[in-house]
Amino acid sequence: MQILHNLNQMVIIKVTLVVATALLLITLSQRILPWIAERFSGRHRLYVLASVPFLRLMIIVVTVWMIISSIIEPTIENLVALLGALGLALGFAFKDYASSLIAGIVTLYEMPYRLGDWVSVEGAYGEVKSIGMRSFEIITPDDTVVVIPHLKLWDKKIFNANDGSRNLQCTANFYLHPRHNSKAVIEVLMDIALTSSYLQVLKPVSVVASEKPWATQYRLKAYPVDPRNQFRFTTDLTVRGKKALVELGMDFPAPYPQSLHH
Amino acid sequence: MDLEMTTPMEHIEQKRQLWRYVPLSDYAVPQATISRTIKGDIRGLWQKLRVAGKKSEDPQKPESDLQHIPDTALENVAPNPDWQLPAGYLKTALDERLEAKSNEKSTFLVVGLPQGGNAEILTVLARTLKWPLITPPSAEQILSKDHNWLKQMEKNDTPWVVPALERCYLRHIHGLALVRQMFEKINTGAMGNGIIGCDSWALAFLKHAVPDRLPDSLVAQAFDDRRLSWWFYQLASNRFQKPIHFRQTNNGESVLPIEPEHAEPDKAGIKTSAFINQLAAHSRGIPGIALSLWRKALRKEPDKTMTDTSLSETESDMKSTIWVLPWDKLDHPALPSSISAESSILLHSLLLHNGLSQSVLAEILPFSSNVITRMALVLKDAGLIEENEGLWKVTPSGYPIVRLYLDGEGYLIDQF
Repeated sequence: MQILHNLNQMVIIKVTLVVATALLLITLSQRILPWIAERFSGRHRLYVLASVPFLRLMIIVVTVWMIISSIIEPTIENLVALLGALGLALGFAFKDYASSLIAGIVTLYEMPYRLGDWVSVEGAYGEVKSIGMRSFEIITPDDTVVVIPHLKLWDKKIFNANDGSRNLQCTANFYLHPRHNSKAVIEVLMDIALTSSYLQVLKPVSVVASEKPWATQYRLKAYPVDPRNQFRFTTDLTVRGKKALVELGMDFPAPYPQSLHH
Repeated sequence: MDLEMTTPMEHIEQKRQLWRYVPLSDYAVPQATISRTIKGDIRGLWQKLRVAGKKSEDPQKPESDLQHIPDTALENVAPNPDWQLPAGYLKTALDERLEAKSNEKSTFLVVGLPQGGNAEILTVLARTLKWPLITPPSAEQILSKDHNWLKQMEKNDTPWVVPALERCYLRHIHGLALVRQMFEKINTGAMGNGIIGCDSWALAFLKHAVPDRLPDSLVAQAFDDRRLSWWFYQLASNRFQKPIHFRQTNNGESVLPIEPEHAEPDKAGIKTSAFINQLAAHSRGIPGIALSLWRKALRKEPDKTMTDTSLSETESDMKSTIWVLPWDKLDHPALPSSISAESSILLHSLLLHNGLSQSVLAEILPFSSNVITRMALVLKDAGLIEENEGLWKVTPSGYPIVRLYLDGEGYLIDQF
């Protein structure tokens, strides 16, 4: 049984051209589509970004099929033999690599993270900037790129803060001396959120209080209009919230310096 | 209608009722007719393909042969509207509602769109009927929660008028107390009868900020293409006895009907042009925005003298033609290519308050005064905002694109 075609010069040139074209198309799609996406606003931006990995998968599938059909006789027996050998080699040599590749395919239909999502994986938090076949990259708020292999999908918790939407909840924490007027605090904190220029007014604002051994904790939860402004939003809530609480005459627990009261 | 209307144009206007106050749910934003837009494009293409030298019934006019109309002359051809007329219709609409609630204290919210002239109409209404006109509080009064301001509205025998509610609050931690107390008192009947003018963007925000029930509301219906045609014709005819012929530069066709007073606007009697159809849709039926764009589109031939000082001389000229640029030749402001999140917030804040001063912007925005100045100048250069009487406001021609942009970005927008 002959598996391979005659590997003459033409076949090698054809395979090389196919691979080069595929690489070119993938590179172009990874550069042009995000560039286009930045020119769209809101949900349209996310749709364009989400099409990048799908398009790349399509290019890879077509390329692999063209290469296989060029090199071997594409009969069922030949394919089974080839894939069996490939699987054995991968199983021993590139177990994690293969696992990441398969997980990369799984992410395309499970979509645990998409471009533009804000995710947290094993303590690394940031915006998903690119999704490759083996790994994806996030950029942290400190402008650091973190490369995370897709195989984390199998056994690690992946926290997605906005899950493909523009709705990303932010929380500002306040700690007050246990003796205080909680109704007034909640009213002030609700207004702090409502009067923030970053607030998405159409999403709910809530205040959750809980008692800690050393203070009463208030968590002001609200959504910014744009997830990219989450840190500015939280800062705005924190700074203005603290100022308003001071004006209200609230006492802070010991860690706050006394000078804040005046 | 209690307010008097005297001129013949106003009698015709009475029949047509350009200004119609309706409940908010009945407001209908004009839509561009696709078939008319396509027809206009095909006609434009046909004009280009016409055999050279063939005498046309609708002669074109190269734009290079035309001139801008000076501002003083524009005041004759497309003058600022007389708010007395809509004030009369508003009075009628309010009378009907007050009659229905004759046994109870009633306050009404008259909602206006940016550049819709709502505050001006309410001011004219109050002055004409000698109702107490409540001037908005200063920023300092709002932030200091000056409740003395509210006392002006109490103990009035006649309805009081607050022309611009958007000037009575600020999106600031101390900027909501005054307006909240105002509605609390209104709901308890402590304020008597009153009319409150409110910008549509401010209303969208205050629905989330004021826990009390807001009063019954009405809004001036949008100007669709037929009403807009008639309104422009009426504005131009107020100063001149002879009709003005508005013709499009690219095909010579009439943009406005020559004598629309014989047609019924609601019965498709006025055949509107594709230009007016697109203008109505683009301006969202807001008269101030439509008028601003209309003025931008008007051109005159160089030999026409149209100064307001030579009115009698120009009357005969006015029988001739004023040229209108085609819709696609009009310059519309564009958003800066790298518009920042801060600029978006600035634009949104200006719309929520229908204009803010530099000092108040610095008070309510989380940016320094320098940053605000820099952003404001960039947006001003782009033609999106302008400073008028100390207030930064979104320009009439910039409003449609700014609204579209903020909507796409997910910001709270008005319901119209």
